[in-house]
Amino acid sequence: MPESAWVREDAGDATVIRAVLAGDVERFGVLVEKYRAEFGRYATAVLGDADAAADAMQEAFIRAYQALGSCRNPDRFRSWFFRILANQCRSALARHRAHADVTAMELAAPERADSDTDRREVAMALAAALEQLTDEQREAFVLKHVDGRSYEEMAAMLGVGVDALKMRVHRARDALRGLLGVMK
Amino acid sequence: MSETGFTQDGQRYLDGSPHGAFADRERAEADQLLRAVAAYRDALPAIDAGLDQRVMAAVRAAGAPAARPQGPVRWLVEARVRPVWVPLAAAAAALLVWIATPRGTTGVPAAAPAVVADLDTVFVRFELVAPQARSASVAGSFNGWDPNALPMRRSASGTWIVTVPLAVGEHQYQFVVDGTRWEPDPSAAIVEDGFGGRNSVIVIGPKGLVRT
Amino acid sequence: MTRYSLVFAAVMVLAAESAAAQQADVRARLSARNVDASLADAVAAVAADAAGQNLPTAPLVDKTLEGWAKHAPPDRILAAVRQSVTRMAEARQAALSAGMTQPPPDVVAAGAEALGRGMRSDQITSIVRADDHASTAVGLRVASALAAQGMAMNDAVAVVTRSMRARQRPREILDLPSTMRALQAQGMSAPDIGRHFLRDGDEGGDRPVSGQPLPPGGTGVRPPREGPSPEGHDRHHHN
Repeated sequence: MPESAWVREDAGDATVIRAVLAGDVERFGVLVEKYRAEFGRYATAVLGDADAAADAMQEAFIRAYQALGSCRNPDRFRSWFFRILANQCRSALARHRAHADVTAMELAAPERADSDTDRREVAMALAAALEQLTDEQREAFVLKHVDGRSYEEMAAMLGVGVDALKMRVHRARDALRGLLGVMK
Repeated sequence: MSETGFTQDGQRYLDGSPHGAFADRERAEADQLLRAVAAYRDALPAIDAGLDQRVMAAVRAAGAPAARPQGPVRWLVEARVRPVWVPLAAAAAALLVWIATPRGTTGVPAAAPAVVADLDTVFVRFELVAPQARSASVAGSFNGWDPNALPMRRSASGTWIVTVPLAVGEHQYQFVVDGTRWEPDPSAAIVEDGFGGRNSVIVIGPKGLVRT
Repeated sequence: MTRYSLVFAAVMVLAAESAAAQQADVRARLSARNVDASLADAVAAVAADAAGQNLPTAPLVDKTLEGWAKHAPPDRILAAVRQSVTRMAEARQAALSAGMTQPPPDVVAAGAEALGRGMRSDQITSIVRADDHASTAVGLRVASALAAQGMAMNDAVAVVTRSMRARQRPREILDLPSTMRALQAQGMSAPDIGRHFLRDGDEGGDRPVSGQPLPPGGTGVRPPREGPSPEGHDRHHHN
């Protein structure tokens, strides 16, 4: 996605933020709904746990609300908020690692038969494998493959260079290749 | 490159970029990885819209945000103190985790807190261990004692949680379980409520809870 | 009519109007939460009476809403509201006799709460006298909270007045209850905590010590479960 399109999408956020700062706090709900939809999958995949993801998102939204006045460029709310969320996820990962249960994530039950039992097992195998990545690799892999973002987008969101991100994604893939091969 | 590493062309293939030729076996494994990701993505549970309500409840409790806070968001002491005594009600072992953030505020919650010394707000996370409960909320002086204003959400382990930004000062509250059972927090101080019941009372200092 | 009686009449009309407005405000807040109309009327009348005694009415509305939310019987609620008025009047009187010319609403409300938790009028007076009135409401609230947490009221008042005389800022005084909780969690008794707070002032420290080394063996306190402080993580999310 070209950079200009990324920025253009945020222009609506600036209007909402100005309204919230002017006292119309209910408008913040617009941002909550929008970014829950956009980043919910990221949080769930990075944390491997829907409850933890909901917690992290809630904390992130509340912090973002409290610090709204210091979001210097309301047009960049999306990346500003994403970094708050990514921080929350990293903190949660640090806390949860000690209690990590590789099979803890409840994945959605398959709606179709047979081949989707296989699919579900594959999904669980990947979930387990993701647990083995470093936090950075996991973040980058999820953004790239689960969310389907371009490296340029990822760079804007994480504040990290494209080359560094490519390296993280490549290493993640290498690790997963090995892990999935073993688990097959 | 490690044994299980993809080649440069393999990586480009996975990036969806133009690439040169690479081994069939590697391609099969690349495709396997992509299929695994697709299956995983399809199976991911979505975060439901209940999150929106919980966030907005906290937002409303906080009131209007400051247009220009006095500094960057700073997280100070975060500590958890487990009560020494055993709670009387089997379901209610409530803990408070206080996270302090200094900020300027022009917002005042609907039922104004008893004392606001400096213009500071502290995030207070209320936790209630009640795995059998079907719902739980916090009602107190900071939300007009409305049992519907701050619903708590249940974690997988049966702990109910809500995070509320509260002004520095004194607050009284109770947990409301299953819509009708009003219970004080056994880990906090108790005062008579004047109706024959008891409220929990906490005084939040600007530093949150002092680390033990 | 003479000019004075015209002015007097005008003032009375204004007073009546503002009293009526104030009563309407009370009723509006109560009916917004669906409080029974007859209860709302009764509370509004009590509130009008309180306003006539220069007492704040917001605490009465809060108390009513609390009782209503908890499904207390209306006569119980009314009794609690009347009790609040009585206590507020007494607290206001104590503040006046301590030299406060116009006790502000937060002092009156805090004093009323304190009386409800066992503070005496003369103790309110000593807190009012402990400083130049900058931290009175805070002092009252904190002393009440220390007492609610198990400290003898005498000790609580002594701790607070000492802090106020030492010109500690309200935010420092507000930290006392959570400091006490932390010390209680380490197994210190309430009387010992009181002595600790008071002794620390004597030793020249200008605030109570906020952390003690754990006694050997600890006493049932879990260390914080959370991992690394979020501080380090948050630094780079500011644009």
